[in-house]
Amino acid sequence: MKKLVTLLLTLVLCMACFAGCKINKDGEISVLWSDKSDSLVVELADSMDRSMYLYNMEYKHYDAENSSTKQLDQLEDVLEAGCQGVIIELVDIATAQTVIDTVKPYNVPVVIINQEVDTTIIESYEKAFNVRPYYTYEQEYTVMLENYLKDNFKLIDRNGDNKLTVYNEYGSYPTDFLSAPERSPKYEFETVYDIAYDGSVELILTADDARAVEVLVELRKQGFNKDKLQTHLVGLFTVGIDQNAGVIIDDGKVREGDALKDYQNKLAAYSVMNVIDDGLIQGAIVLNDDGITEMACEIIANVIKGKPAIKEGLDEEYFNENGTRNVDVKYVLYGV
Amino acid sequence: MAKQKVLDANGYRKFGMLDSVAYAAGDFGCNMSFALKSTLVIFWTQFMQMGSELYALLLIIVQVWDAINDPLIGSIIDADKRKYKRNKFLSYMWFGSIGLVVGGAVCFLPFPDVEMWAKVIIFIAGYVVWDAFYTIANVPYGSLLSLISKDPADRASLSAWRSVGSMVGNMVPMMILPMIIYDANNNIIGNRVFIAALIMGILGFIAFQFMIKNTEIREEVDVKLNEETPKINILKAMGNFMKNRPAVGATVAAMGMFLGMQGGTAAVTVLFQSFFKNVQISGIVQVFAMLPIIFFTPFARKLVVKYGKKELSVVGSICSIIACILMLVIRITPDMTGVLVYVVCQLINSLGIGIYSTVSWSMMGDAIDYNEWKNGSRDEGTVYSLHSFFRKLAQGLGPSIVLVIMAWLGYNEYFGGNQTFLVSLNLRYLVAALYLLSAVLQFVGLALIYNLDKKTLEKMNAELDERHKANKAVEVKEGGNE
Repeated sequence: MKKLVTLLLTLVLCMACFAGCKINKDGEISVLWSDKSDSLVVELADSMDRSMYLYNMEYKHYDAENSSTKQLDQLEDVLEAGCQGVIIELVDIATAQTVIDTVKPYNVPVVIINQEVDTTIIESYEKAFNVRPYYTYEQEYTVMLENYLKDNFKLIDRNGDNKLTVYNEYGSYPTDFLSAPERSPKYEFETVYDIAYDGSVELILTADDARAVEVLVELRKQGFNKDKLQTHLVGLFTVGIDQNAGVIIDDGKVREGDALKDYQNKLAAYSVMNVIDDGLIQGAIVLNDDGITEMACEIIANVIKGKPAIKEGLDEEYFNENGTRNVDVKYVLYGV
Repeated sequence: MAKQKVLDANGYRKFGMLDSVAYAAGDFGCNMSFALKSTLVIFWTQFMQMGSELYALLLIIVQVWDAINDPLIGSIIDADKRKYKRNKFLSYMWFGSIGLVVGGAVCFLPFPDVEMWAKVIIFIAGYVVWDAFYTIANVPYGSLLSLISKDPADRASLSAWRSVGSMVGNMVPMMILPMIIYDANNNIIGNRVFIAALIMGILGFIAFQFMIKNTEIREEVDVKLNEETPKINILKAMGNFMKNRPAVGATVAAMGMFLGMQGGTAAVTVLFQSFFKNVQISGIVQVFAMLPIIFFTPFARKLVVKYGKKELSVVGSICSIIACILMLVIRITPDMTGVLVYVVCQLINSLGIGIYSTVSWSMMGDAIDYNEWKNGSRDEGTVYSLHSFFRKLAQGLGPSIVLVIMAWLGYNEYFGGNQTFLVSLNLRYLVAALYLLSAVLQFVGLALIYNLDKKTLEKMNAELDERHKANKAVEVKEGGNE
């Protein structure tokens, strides 16, 4: 028994020795952010923590505090210090070429994320890559509505007439698609052009999260979308979730932005995400944070290991045009 | 022609599968309300939006009720010498089972938008109601084992099947509930938890009725009419309990299990919500990890007879310690590969814990016999209720302490199922550390404190048998003289 326990513990200790080995032993991966007081950047940074752990890389965050001069200085500093790769979310997209030119002599990979950079800039350096969001809003909005209505049509059909009165700030594609004669199930909509907060409008589609919060505030004044039990509900959908809703929704029942703390906890300055979690807004199309950061880390890891940076046969959430070093990342749904 | 009952030498239905299955149904019934308890923390912090520290404090307060509730009910049962149509323990269980139909659900009343003071009242009142009925059903249930049979192999079988009942009572909700009560973004849907609790209460009631109907009491407690009701001295009972090494050892092991594993259920849920970002598979993963013990249970009786309960349990705790160290040191990534590594570690860990849990209840039966061997009195209700008290203490303190640690590590109930990654990474290590604590305490309780190894157990049973025969002979003689 003692020999067996000793053998097993030795094995465990050996495994522990390997557990801490990162793939970039010779230098960190530097992650340069535009402004970490921006809730969108905070979410991306949190996602980056996850992706870096997934790919087992040593890394460090840098905050340019919305100054492109500071960001370029930071870039030079990390390159001088011997970083093994750079992931950068630009303060000013006009500095993209400067960034590429600065990195090039150091022969390390650089990935620009979350912004669409001109392909010629990326092509000017063989280890430059661009991972950016891919907009197919119409289809995503349609899927979002479809997913929701499948299980919740009766919940928002307040007058029970099997038809939804809709106020649409987004575009008619989703409702046109869902009411097409050949569809099954087919939904019926009646579009109105004045937004009413008295419950007669049963479905509201907005095109951005700030607008969705404004609409929500007005609805709540009339007694709608006030509680998690969804007793008086108007279906509300939007694009984006990082808008800080706390300081706007202030009727004593909703948490305020005082959840904003240090970097680790900045995520929950009561954003539209939290509003959706509470069931007050039904869904949103959002940036695929994990998709962007995982792709950026995968590219850096592949370059360090000497493999092809962008693998063949990417998952459905990505799109890479042949021969380019651009990867488009589709948006995802939140709440439905 | 009706099937004739096969009777034993004393005229009772011969011990068989029906006894074991009926006994298992009792724990299934208990678990129909208990299984949801692990959801309490997430429900009250994330859905009801009660602060973590406030919730931890309230949990300790309701455990004070437990501290009064358990030995009090145990004493009442011990002191109750009335003659019942079936058996007093079964009668108490019947009463408790009625209350448990709604008892579990009142802990999950979904009123997230009321004032905080109202939430505090709802929580305390709901928990007290649930706890009272649970104790009335559960305390006599544990004592029942020693009254169904005195044969060690039969007790081992009852204990093993109790674990099966407990496992099924845990597994079914564990597997199904996460798929129902969490949305696509890993946030809890409070209304559904309430409905689930009601349904489980009804299922539990049905299980209890099956158990009560099919339990055969073979070791009758002799009730004398007009006897003065004996006074139970709680302090003396506590003193005797602390001198009872098997009871203390089994209790330390059980406390370890609850402090670590039960205390860690909230951390495990957040692990799946925010680290693996897939809380809906958490139930299946937990159930899968219990598979080793399902395969082990049919062999429990033979292995106990061959090696002894203590010996078997100690080996189990060593397995768990090794599995937990592995869980701590191996890099578990926030993807399906990481889930698989976690599952493998859990398979080994749960086998180790499971070995102990299949024999844990019969260990308490032996501890009650040890009480009689050393002190001359069994005090089943009191010994078992004190064991339950310490278990409940661990069950209550465990989640409270762990919740405070979680808050210290960055857990913020505002964020629901979307804690930051670094916080979820902290909780990943916390889960492993808690399981390791569990395993170490089990080892300490079973290897170092519990002193009924196979030889000693045989000696104790032989001496008790002789004593009982001698007592019976004296009673017969006295009866003849009258």
